[in-house]
Amino acid sequence: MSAAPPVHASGVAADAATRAEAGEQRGRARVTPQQVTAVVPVVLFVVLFVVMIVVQGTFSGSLLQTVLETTVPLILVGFGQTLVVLTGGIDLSVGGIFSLVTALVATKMTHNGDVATWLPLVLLIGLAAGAINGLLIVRTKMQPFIVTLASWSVFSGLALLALSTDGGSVAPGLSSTLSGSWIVPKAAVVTAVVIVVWLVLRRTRFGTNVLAIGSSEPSARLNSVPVARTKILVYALAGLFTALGAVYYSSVLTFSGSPTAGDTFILQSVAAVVIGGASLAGGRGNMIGTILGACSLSMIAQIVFFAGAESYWGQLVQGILILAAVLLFATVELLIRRRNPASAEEA
Amino acid sequence: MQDDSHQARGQTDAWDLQALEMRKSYGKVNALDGATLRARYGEVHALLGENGAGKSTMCKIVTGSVRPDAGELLLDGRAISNGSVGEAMRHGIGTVFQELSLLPDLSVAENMFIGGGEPRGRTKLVDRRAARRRTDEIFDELGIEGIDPRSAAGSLPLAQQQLVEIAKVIARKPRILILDEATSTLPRQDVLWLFGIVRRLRDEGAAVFLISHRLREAFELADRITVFRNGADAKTGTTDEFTEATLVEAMLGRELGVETERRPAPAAAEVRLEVRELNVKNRVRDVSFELRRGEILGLAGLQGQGQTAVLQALYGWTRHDGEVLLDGQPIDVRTPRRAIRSGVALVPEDRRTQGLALEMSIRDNLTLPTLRRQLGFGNLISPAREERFAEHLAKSLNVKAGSLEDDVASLSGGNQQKVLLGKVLSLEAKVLLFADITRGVDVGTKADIFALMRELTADGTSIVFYSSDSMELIHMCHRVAVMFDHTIACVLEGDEITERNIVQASVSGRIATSEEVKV
Repeated sequence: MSAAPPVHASGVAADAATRAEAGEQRGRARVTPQQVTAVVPVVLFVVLFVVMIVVQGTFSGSLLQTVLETTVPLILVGFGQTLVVLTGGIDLSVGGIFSLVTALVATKMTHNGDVATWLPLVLLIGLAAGAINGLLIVRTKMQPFIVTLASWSVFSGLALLALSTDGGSVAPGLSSTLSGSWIVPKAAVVTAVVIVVWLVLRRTRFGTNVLAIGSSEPSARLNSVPVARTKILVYALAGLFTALGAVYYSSVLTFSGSPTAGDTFILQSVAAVVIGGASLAGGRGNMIGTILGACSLSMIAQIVFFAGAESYWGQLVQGILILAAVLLFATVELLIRRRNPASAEEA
Repeated sequence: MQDDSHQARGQTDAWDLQALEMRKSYGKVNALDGATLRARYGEVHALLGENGAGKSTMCKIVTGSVRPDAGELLLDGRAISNGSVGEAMRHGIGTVFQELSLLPDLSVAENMFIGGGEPRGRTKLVDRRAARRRTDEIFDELGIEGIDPRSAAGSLPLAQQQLVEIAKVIARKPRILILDEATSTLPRQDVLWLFGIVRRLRDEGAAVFLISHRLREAFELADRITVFRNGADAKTGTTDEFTEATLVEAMLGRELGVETERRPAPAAAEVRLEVRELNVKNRVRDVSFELRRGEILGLAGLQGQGQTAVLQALYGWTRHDGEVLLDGQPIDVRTPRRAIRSGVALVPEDRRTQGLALEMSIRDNLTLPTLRRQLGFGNLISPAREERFAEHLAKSLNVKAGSLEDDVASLSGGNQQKVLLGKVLSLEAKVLLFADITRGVDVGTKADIFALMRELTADGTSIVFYSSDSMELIHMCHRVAVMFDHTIACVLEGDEITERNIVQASVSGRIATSEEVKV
């Protein structure tokens, strides 16, 4: 048997013409929906940033840093939410986990509390809470929406058990460590985290599996992707990221705890993911988009505050923004489909 | 002595893969009822049978995507349990799935290596550039051209997706290769290309299973044939033990009276549908034709020449320019709803995503487009009326189902197709558009569909019939329009309708003149 490939000359050649044609059409319509969804959040971020400078009337280098720092909790919760959304799911329980962790931080990690024990413990609690979500979703095959709606309620109840009203305090040591100056610049830490998360998503088998599940779960299964394991891990990571966000929130931003602090993060995190260009159907989206989406959301609140308007204007604008973003993404995709017959023909 | 051992081998050990007495049922339907399959390395083994006969379920068991209720799977004489596709892969079993298993949002390169085997850099991270390069190499080696490893798999035309799917499996050098309807979306020349690769794999010692509805492919490629019927293996033997007639007989358990003679075109009949200068951006260019009362007009051509687009445009599925006249009157076909009202209905290509609501019951699917007729007291949907209507349709189309309340998804492919047909027929359209509806359908159902088409045309219905199988067009059509470069290149009539002419026109846009043929 010769090693030569069994190319059926006339056949493949005849068809090569039609394929070359398809390639040419692809060449003309080079813009993909993915590229557009990557650009939109950047544009939005820049526009809002400029508006913020105008409204505030001053510009200083620390403005960007302030925005980033106040948005860290939402970014972290958003990371977790992005992972879940990429698999085609949704996690409403981030609100409950967030509240539970803040409550624990404010009651256990006080100035006379054992921070060294409780810090890893609360992170573990976040991880475990998420893993329970994942297990329930995978084992019972219930909808993520229902499972996490229920567990949100459960975790919120536990949060109220730990801390019945807003209050408590956080060990000043922890606060100053997180908010004070670090050995390495914070910007470098943030950049490093972003790069790591990006690498995990785009350059590891885990990341590809996540996208594969969101793209088509039955097909992923046929390709021997470990669907159950990956999903459980995704929800667990969502819990962990949420716990991280909650620790930062209570120790740096509020210095106290609130058993209902997490609730606003549920829809905000989903909004950040959507504005960041992810598809709620799964398979498409990225972490950078989520960061930009989260920052855009918190800048709107800032702008409204500095403009001296009532805070409900912020809510209104946020709502319109979400609608506009989703509409834009849908339109762009439709336009590209129309322009690129290769994807529509015979499909 | 030696003879004895050889004989013993011949009876048992000679089989490298054995699936013994497999049973599997879905609800009340027995998909497999004690079926046995044996195969050897270095042989191509065709599995034939009607849809629902059990061959696909058998393959899924071997592949690990379905767990049998009972039965034994032996590989190299050892029992293996295929709990998952991954486990089967580790045993060297690779499958080209009937429903494409590509992940639409991932790139072609990512798809090639999903589930394992992706190239990694020194850092243990996936090396995407290397993955792209490797994909290009694999495509080169297999003779696939014109597919960019970076493009999203879902953005490729169906035939190209099929090629990627095939390349993905072959690149893993499986010891056992299963081709589950892998050829159904491929044009003929790509089928031949695939067969070349399969022969090479076989000669290198792989066992290949071929599931196809095209008997011709089985005769071309297979060394051995097993026919399935009613969830069991009905007949097995080497290919030369079968003829086309005995094969079909074994599949049906009866003789098939295929009516092959073509009736003359009803030239005298009045023009029913007239299409003038139909254009769809990038997909259809200046298509004009006439369709007479009771006529079947075939649409032929290579994949992607606009056949589907023409049908979709006439059904108001895609935006288009041009004039459409029915019985001399201009009609509005800008949306499917309007097209149906005007008397034009389409049976779409992909019953799973375009034709049926899989999670709904058979009854609900059958009555969905005609709910207006199912209304009773107070304009509420009358269950009794629905029931009668659905039952009548199901019976007249010979749908095999436990109960009309079952999900459509629980039916075999052929029966799903019948539900889809029934649904569209109940619209009582004057012009029916059939978009490759016999693809992946077993011979029995096909015969039923063809009989139905003849019945319909006898009653005056006109049909535009697009099929990727030119033999079907030759059997069924009064005229065949061959599409080339997004337009109708030529229309074949009467004795001109031959496979040779269709193929010739498909690849060149014209047919050879009679002088050229003689030379």
